[in-house]
Amino acid sequence: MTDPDLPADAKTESLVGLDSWQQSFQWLRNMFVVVLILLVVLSGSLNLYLYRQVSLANRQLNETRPGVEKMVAEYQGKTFPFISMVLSNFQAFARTTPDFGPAVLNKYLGTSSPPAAVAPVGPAAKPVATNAPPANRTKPR
Amino acid sequence: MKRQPLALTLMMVLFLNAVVAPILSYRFIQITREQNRLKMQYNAVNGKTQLLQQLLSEALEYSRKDPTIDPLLEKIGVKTRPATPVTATKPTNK
Repeated sequence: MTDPDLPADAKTESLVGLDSWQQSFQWLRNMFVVVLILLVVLSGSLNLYLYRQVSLANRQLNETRPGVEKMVAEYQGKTFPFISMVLSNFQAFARTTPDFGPAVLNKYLGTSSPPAAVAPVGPAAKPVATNAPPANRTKPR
Repeated sequence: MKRQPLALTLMMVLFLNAVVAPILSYRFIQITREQNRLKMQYNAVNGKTQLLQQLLSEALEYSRKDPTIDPLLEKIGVKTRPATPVTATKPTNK
């Protein structure tokens, strides 16, 4: 080693600095890979959970749908015409027997006088929407 | 620059996961909406059927006080006609 002391020190310092920088860089790369692995595990778990939920909900939907569709078809085919017939008959009866309207029919139609049309009962009907008759109505005489 | 195949693979997997997650979420939302729609239909039909049952039972109750409603209840099939005596249906041979 015939070089002067000062340049040798500088060279050593720069080598030490480079080595430290390389170590830091390697550490950062490793950390990046570790974070990537964690993210992949996290997002994979989330996707697995979502997939299971979708499968479960889809299975429940497929089990429920035929029953409900059958029920709705039966309602539209049989029950709704029957309700219309019953209501029109009851309304006609309420016209001849004024006691019947306040005692029974108005609780379900929600009006003080029997309406002329059968329109209240239907899939989009409002007056029959209440599930229970009001409690404080006039009692039948 | 030295490439890292592991990091590249992980990033691809991460990208795939990021694409799949919104698709699954959207599908889940669709299924849940459909379930809610079916539930509402079921509740509506059930509620109206129950209401009809209540109305008919009240009409039956009313018929005890006012029998003039009986023909109407018999017509709609809620109340059965009381059995008529045999002697009344027999033809008289004079």
